[in-house]
Amino acid sequence: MSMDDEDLSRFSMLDLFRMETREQMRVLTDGLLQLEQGAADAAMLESMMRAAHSVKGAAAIVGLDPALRLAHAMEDVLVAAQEGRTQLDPDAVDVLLGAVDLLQQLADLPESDAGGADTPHGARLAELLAALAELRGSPRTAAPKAPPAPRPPPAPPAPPAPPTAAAIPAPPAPTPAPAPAPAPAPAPVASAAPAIAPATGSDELATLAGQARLHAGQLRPWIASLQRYKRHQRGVFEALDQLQDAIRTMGDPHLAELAQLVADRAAPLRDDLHRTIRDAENYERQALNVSTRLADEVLALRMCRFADGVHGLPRMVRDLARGLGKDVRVEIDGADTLVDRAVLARMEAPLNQLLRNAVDHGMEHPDERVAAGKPAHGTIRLQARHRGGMLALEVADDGGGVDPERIRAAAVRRQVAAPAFAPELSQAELMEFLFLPGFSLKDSANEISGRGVGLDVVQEAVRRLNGTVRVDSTLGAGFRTVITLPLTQSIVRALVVDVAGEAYALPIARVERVLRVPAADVLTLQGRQYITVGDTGEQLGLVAAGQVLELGETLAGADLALVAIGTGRERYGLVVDAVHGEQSLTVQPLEPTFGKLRDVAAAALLDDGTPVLILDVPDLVMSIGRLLDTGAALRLGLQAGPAGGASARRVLVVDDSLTVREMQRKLLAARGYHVDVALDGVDGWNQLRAADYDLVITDIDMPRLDGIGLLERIRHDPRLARLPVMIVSYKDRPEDRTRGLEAGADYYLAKGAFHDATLLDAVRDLIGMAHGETTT
Amino acid sequence: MKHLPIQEWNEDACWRRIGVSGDRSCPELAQHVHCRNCPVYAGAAQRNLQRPVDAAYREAWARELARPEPPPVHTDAAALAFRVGREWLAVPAALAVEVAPLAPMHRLPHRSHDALLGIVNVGGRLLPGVSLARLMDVDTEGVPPPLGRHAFARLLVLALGAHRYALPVDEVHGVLRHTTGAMRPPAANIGRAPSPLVAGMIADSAIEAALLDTAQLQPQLEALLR
Repeated sequence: MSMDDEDLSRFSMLDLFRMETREQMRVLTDGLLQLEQGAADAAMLESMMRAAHSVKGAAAIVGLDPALRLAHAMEDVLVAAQEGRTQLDPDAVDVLLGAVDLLQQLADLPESDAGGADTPHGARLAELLAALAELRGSPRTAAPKAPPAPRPPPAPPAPPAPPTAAAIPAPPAPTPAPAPAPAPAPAPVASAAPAIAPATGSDELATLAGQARLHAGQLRPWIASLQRYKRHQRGVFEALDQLQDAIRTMGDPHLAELAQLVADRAAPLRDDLHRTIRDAENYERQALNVSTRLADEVLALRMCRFADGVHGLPRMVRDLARGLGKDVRVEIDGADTLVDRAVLARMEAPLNQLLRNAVDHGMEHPDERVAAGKPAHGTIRLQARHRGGMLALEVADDGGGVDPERIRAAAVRRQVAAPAFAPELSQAELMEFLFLPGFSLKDSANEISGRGVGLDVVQEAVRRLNGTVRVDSTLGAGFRTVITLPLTQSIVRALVVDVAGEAYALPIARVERVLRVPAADVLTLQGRQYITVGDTGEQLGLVAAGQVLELGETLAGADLALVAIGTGRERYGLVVDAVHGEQSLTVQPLEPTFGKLRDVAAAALLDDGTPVLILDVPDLVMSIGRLLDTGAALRLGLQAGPAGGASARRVLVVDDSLTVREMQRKLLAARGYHVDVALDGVDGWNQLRAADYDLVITDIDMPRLDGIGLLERIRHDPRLARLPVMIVSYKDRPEDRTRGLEAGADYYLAKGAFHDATLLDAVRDLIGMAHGETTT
Repeated sequence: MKHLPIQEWNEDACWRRIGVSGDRSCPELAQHVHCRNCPVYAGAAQRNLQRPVDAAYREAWARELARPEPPPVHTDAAALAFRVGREWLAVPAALAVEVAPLAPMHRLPHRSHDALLGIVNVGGRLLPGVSLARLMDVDTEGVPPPLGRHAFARLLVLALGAHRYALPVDEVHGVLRHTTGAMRPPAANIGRAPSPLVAGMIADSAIEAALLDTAQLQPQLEALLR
């Protein structure tokens, strides 16, 4: 991690020392690991020596005497190794790694404690200094001659778990606890923290960049309106030409002169508009281009190199393997692959777990490996690459692998697979069992026991990030885990739906399928609704999204829009008002404001700038389960069959004239619509708030609240904002029409031109037939 | 300000009789099209501007101008005044970070029953929307629109502590400068409300408003978020 582009002036000297130590300790750790594997050359030794030397100098500047002495001793050992005076065998590497850990801990001590000789680190320091002096002084041979502090205590940092280690459900939290105890806590992973700290400042940047792109996108409709204006203008010019021709035929010189004047004055308008449109289009293109690049760059800010997030893992594997008497190396492939910091931070624990599993349960002991014709040292390959717009992480070891037949047997024994079906299961299907919680077979002590340990945790973590995980194994040749994740958590591909009149989004990875079923197909059992899905015969329980989210009663129309979520037994058909389709949403976290909101993961903005809540599907499925357990039916407000009045489309007629009201009511009712009437705007508003309507037909001139006022209230109400509204009025001047349409009416019908067919046609165009297909 | 005398106009205003403001029968119109292009009109204007003023007129103005200017009121604080329903309220101006156009609120699941209206997009940022009317029990039903001016409903964005809140208000008046010492306590029945949010009444020449108590408002708003 480079510090060059950060403003360093705000850090204290000690802060700077900590940063430098962290950097240099990484160099040392990497070098020591390579050294142990025999891959280090003179240049590597040189850079390690320089790293120790730099820390020594820096420690002198901040006056941290213990760190100075330790770094000095390390430097001496490394110089000795360089000059060939000493051999660095695994035991020596242990000592040096122990010194690296201690140096890091010393640097991380709070300022007040720094340098205190009586710190709990004092004893440890003395030990290490002695061991280092030993290393430097005595030219060691491959066979260590029982040194006074053979491997002081720096032994394996991780407790060497018993081979049946089903007992580690999650990786022992790699706390950077400055453990005074001899065994240094496995700090390496924690030391990566600064590299992958969630970037909060860039949240705001991402939000602003997203907004800029949104604004640029909104220029398009504006330009479209200019184009419409241009068409109107063309019409006006044509009419003007005709007028001029007519006047010319009449031969009145005065009129002809006036007409010429109009034509002359109008002539430049055409070019002006043309130019304006061209300029606007240019502007739009630039704005869109710049804002898109801005958004991309901001996104890139949130990325870091894969290696920066996982550099602690090789050390962890080395220590763990050494504790178990195994020899395991980690190869990182795709170190430069760019990964979202937030994703990497949340993948740390799962990767840790997978590597532990590989070392603990996958890798054989060196003699077994040699016997099997494999190299004595095992290799775990950790790979990151971009594939098809996704991030693919792969952890592959060349250990013993898993015997699928044992999984088969275990699945039957554990009663998770029926004996009759078990022989039919493919290898891929068998591997899926490893993800079941508790499927680790600790009661049978064979080599696959433990292989599934924590895999359910890994899967859960991956699913939380909207990713998938797959495992694969060849008996005797290795085990492979492939994790596929979205490149970033800042943008989520989601299905946008309406619930109770407002937009909600479900991450597309969580949506099993989307269905549209006639309300008549809904069956009821014990007061709970379900449908039978046609092609599979599966029974899918229905839950009303509005009720799960406590947004109020849902009244279903003739068709139900269903989104199937959840897996296995916890699968539900979430009934929503409408499905709008798939969209990429720029995520805005809500946690800083609200803490964890039930069932909601985050928020975002739709293209038109309205907020949308992104649902937390696993949370939602749990909520549904809990609600059902407590006896809530989460039922839809379903009405009787299509013959019944209420499943027809509901229309509200608002008019202060009894005659008009009744005429409209009869006309619409005759066509099967369910019609309610209201006497004026206020009455209409109250009825609208009390029930769900598909259409409002309103007059303009009414007491208390006129049609325009009613319309404005409707358009400002989040639930009703999209309700179609038709105005039927005696006012048929163009300005009245414009006023009505500007206030948000979907249709304006003049009572003068009013007859039955026009009204019915207009209603049909707006909301469809009384019982027909939904048009929304 | 009191009305000062204005001199009567006693010339023949032909433009009102036969000109563009009259029946347009003036023959000069054919040439000048509009009275303002006509020399008769220009001449009348000249005479009007140069007419002698009488003693009473001069006297009245002399008296008016001789009056000492009222001493400036020393104000030491500023508040942003706005209206919710019929009530004029104010918050310290430093808290009001933005006045934004009204935007649709998105309700929050499981949270629909209190003064928390939901989230709203203010300049690309999603902020919690809070109804002051519900928080303070203000009656918003049947409030007639104000006479003689246009009232625009707005979102008032307040920065309180670590959070920002968007409060829909019916109208924003503007900045009200006042003197902290001159703040009057609210009526006794208001001060004893279960959650008294009003610190006191402040006023300038144009308006009187109830200044909200930040120390009370902040915890109440924060409680809504939890």
